[in-house]
Formats: sequence, structure tokens, C-alpha cells
Amino acid sequence: MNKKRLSLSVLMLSSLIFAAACGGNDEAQVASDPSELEGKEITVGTWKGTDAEVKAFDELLAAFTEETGINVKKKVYNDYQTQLQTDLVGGTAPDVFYVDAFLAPELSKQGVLEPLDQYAEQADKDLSDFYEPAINAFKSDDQLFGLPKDYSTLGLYYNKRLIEEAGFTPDDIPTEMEQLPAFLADLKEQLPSGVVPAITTSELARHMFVLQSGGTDVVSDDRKAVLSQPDQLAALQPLVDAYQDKLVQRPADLGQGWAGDSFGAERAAIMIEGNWAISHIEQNFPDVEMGTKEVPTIGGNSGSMMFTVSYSLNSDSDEKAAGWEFINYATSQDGMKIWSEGAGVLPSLKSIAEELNLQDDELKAPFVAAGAYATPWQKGDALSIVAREYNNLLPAALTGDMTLEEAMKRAEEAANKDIETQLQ
Amino acid sequence: MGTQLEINRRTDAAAQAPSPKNGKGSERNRREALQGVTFMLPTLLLLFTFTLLPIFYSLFLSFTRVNLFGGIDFQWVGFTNYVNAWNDDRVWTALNNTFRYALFVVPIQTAVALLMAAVLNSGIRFQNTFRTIYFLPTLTSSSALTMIFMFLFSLNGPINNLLVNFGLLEAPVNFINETDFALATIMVMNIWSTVPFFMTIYLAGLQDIPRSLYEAASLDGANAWQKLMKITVPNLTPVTNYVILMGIIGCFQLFDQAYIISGGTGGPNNATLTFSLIIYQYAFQTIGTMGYASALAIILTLIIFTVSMLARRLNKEESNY
Repeated sequence: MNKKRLSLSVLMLSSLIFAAACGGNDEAQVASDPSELEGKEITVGTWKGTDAEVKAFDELLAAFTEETGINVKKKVYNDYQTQLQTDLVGGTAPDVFYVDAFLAPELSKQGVLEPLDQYAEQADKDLSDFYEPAINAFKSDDQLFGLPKDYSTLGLYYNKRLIEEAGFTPDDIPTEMEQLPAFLADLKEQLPSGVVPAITTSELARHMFVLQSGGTDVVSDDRKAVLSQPDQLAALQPLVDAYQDKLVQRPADLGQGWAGDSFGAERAAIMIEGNWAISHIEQNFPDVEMGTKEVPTIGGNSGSMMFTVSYSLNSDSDEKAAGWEFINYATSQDGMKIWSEGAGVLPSLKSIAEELNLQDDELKAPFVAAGAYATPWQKGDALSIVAREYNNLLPAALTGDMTLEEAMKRAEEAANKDIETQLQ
Repeated sequence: MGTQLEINRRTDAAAQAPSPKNGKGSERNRREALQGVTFMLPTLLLLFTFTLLPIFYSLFLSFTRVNLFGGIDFQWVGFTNYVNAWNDDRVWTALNNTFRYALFVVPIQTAVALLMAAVLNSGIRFQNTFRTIYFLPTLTSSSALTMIFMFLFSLNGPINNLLVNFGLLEAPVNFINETDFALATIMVMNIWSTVPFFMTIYLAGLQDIPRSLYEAASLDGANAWQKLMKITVPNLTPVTNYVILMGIIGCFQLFDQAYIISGGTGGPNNATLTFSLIIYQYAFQTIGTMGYASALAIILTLIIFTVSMLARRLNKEESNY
């Protein structure tokens, strides 16, 4: 009998543990007396980033804890998008986490992000100091779902040595996209074999501003994919031609993972890439002498892409007040300065960009300038499907298996069919 | 097999068990049964929580349009997800790719593994060294292998250089980014990396074949090829069944290579879109389509089940037992 009772209690115990693991959590209280928050602990979810970013983030956390007495636990994601979703579904997501602008509309629609408008109002936060495109990327339905921690834009990198040895000066690099292919063709003849004139990653995240340069958005107002309008095709065709003439290549064509490595290995003389490549090249390829310029204009208009990431508050968090304190501090002038100075990223606050004199920074200036006109990588919740199909079919146009029009028509059709059946 | 005495004792116990009169015996039996269940409980719980529950949960999800975020919100939609899958061109493309892949990879990897095992079992010199070397690819992570293969097969990579230098190709071929070659590159890579594992299983199977069969065949004047086809292959049928089964399952679940080569899109032009990749896309890349992803996962399970059973039956019929 004894053994029976024992086994029964084992069973009951384990079912108890199971039930406890599945239990829900209570609705969080929103309190706002700062001194009450001392000694609390919150979790902040990030992805790893560069070494400099890791170091700067630790400094930011230390400064925050000193200022407010709130302790912060880090949760670092290796595969951010998949892991964060799993955490959100499982109810184990951090109190505050990075949200890529690209994902913000989908996540806010799911109700997992806490609207920050009231918090900002109560704290008298100056929202006008943020760069417009950056903060707007986190607004949907007139609500604010995150505050940008920094931003990145695309710019043009050139390898000084390769350009000069080919008999050109950096000033010869055209500032208009229309003249770029001709220049690349001249450059190609002078470059040593095995070095391609230009390299770029071919995906919608880098091309959206090109496609939209004629005024047609890639996702229409009624949430349909629009990829094959004449003005879009006309804007994209030069890239396809340049690719087929081997003036522009993709990193995968050279057997490399991303453009920054190809450029750093001096396999390409020019690259269009985000400002994150600066620190990567300085760290891993210190011998490469690089310069940067703004992306050449299309039809006389400046264009670039903007990628921005916010700190957002988990709507399911038990420590919303403490979580907001962290967001507020990290996006304050003090916090922003520690982060952007240490990590070498572009601050999302105009005042800090000025304070750090980034507009005079030789390498970063073109990227800061793009902050004013760049297109944010965000277009509602249908963008992930549109991007998937664009990235799937563009290579077929580049290699010549299909014409650009055929490829884009097919991408558009596949995306629209999917949007129709899968998104409500 | 126990001794006769043991068997007798067991029959005794079995005969006693159902008898309600013998209270002492039934009490003991019940206690033993409880002990048995207690010992199995951890495993049963794990099996239930991490295997059965997810399977039934995704079966349930496949009939819903579900939002797993925040408050869970199910909407029963019946067979809509399955109907959508039937009408989805991308699903058919993925199915086509996956079938083509399995049809090519499974027979080759099985045949090559068997041949290599037979050679390595024949008593050639440095047998153990070769076994170790051949086993190495299996130990390497498949994502690392994919990166290496992407380099090897890249436009300026060693494979292209070799082929061009030997005059087999006029100009380098973009194996990874061209629609016609992307899947074939993954096939080559997968055969290369899985053959050693199956070879090891075959090697183990070869130890069970009695030497006397080969000796008898030699006396009758059979040559090496005849011995392989008439003794080794038929005697290995159970092992071959296992190898083919695991091969088919592995092929239908092909994911990481396709994911890395296409960056998760299944491109170029759907050439590397596999069934597992499409499930991943709906489960994790698009938010709110978990129900559809679950339906696709159930379909994949049914397909693997059917194909495996078919393969088993075919192989049995051909066996020479």
C-alpha cells in the first residue's frame, strides 16, 4: 500500500508541476512612482550585435541601474525573429525587447506590444527630438509601439586603393545612379582580374527605395503587392543589366556570406551597404582604406533605406513601470550618448547626432545625411510576404532565366495570393 | 528465451493473476504493476508532454485559424487550411522539389553506402583508418557543411576552377544561384554527408552475415560481384529497409541546407523551396499563420508515412529470403 501511495503522490506532484507551468499570469499594474521601483528586476531582450555594441550595452545597463536602482537581466537572442515569437507565445518574453521596424506592424497587430503614448505623456518625453522616419516606423493606428534606439541607412563605400590604382579619384564616382553603370564599365577594364567593380546584396530590404523612386509603393493602401508597374521595372532594369554585364555582383556569386566581407577582402571596389559595415571593416580588415558617399540619386532625388530598431514594452509584462523607466532612460540624451558613442551607431536623437558632430565625421556623414530622406524598411504586415517573393524571384531575373517583368509579375501574383488566403 | 523452469513459473504466475480468490497473489501483482508504471512514469510523462501533446496540438491547430500571441484565440475553420494547401501553387512546387530530391538522393546514397561498406569490410589495408575518415562528414554540422559547399561551388570557387581548367566547362557555372543547379548542389552535398552514417549501419549489418555462406559460394566458384548480389544484398534487406526509411524521412525533412542557400526564401525562383522550408515560413516568418503551417506539417507527416510504407513493401517483395 505504501508504494502505491508513493507512486500516486509522484503522479500528483508531476501533474501539479505541469499545471503550474501552464498557469497564466495576472494583469500587470501600471504604477508610476520612481522610488517604488528601486530593487526591481527587469529582463531586456536583444540580439548580440558587434563586440562594441555588447560593451556599450553593458555600460548603458550599468548607468541605468545606478540612476534608478532597477536591475536588468540580459536575454540575448541568436535567432531573434524565431526565438522572440516563441517566447511571446510561451509567455516568457522579456519585459523590454528590441523590435525591428520591419516586424513592428505585425507584432503590434497581435497586441503583444504595449502602446507607449500615455507613458511618454506622463514622463513629459520630448518625442520631437527623434528623427521623423525613425519614430514613425513604430506608429500604427496613431499609437506608438516603441522608441527607436538608433538607426542605420545605406550608403556607398569605395576602396580608395583600388579606385586610385585604376586611375580614378573618388570624385569620379558619379552622384547620379543613371551614370553609375558607365563608370563601372570603365572601372571594370582597369581593375585586376578577380575584382568586381561593385557588390550589393540583392533583396527588397535594399531595393525598396529604388522600386518606389517613381512614386509607386511596393504595398498598396489596400494591402496588395505592387512590384511590376512600369515605373518600378524601369527603375530596377539598370541593376539587372549591370548584373548581367558583371558590373555588379552579389556576395554569394563570390562565395561570400555578405557584401561587407567581399568588400573587406578587396574583391569589390564599390559597395552599397549599411553603416554597420564601417565598424565591421575597421575591425576585421584594418588594412582596407575605405571612403563613403551618399547613395547616387535616382531621377535627381536622393534615396536610401532606413533600418531602425526600437525598445518596446511587452504588454504581458509584470514590471511595465520599471520597463518604461528603462526605455525612457535608454532613449534619453544620457542613455543615447552612452549607446551611440560606444557602439558606433547613429543615434535616433537629433540633439545627440549634433553633439557628437556626426555630420562632420568623414565616414559617417553620408549615412547621417540619409537620415533625413531615407525610406524606412517597414510597410505594414504584408511586407514579409512581399519581400519573400521578391527575394525569391529577383535572382531568376538577374541570371536571365526570366525577364524582369516576368519575374516581378510572378512575385506579385504569388504574394497577392498568399496575402489573400493567409492574412485576414 | 528462458529455461523451461522459468517458463513454467511464468505460466504459474499468469494463471494465478486473474484469480480473485488468491488475494495475496493479486495484491503482489498489482504492486508489481504499479512499480512498473512508476518506473516508466518519467519516460511516459516526457513522451506525452514533448511528443504526443505537440502532435495532437498541431493536429488541432491545423483545423483552426489561430493567433497564439497574447490571449490565445482560436477560430475553427474546418478543412479550410487543407483546401488552401491544395490550391497553393507553392505547396505543389515544394512537393515536386522534395519528391525529386528524395527520388534522386535515396537510391544513390543507399547504393553508395552499401558499396563502401562492402569494400571496407573486405579486409583491405588501413581499413580502420578509412572507416574513421569516411565517418568524419557525418560528425560535422550540416550548416557548417553548407557554408563550405557554398564556397566550393561558388562562381570563383575550386569546383568551377577545376572544371574550367580541365576544359569540362567553358565558363564557370553559378551552381548556387541558378535555378537549374541549386537543388542539385544540395543533393550532392547531402549524399556526401549522409553516406558515411548509413555506411556505418551497413558495416554493423555485415558483421551478422555468416562467413560460411561466402566460403560455400567460393567453393561453388562465385566471383566477388555474384557474392555481393546473391549473399550480401539479400542478407542485408532488413538493414536496407532501415536505411531507406531513414533516408526518405531525412530527405522529406530537408531544411537547413535549403534555408541557408536561399536565405529562407526558397529561391532562386522556388528552386530550393522544400516542404519543411514552407512550413517554417508560415510558422515563423509570417505571423498569424500557425494554423496553415500545422496543416502543412500534418500533410508532410502523412506523405512521409505513405511513402515509407510503400518503400518498405517494395523492398520486401524484392528480397530473396
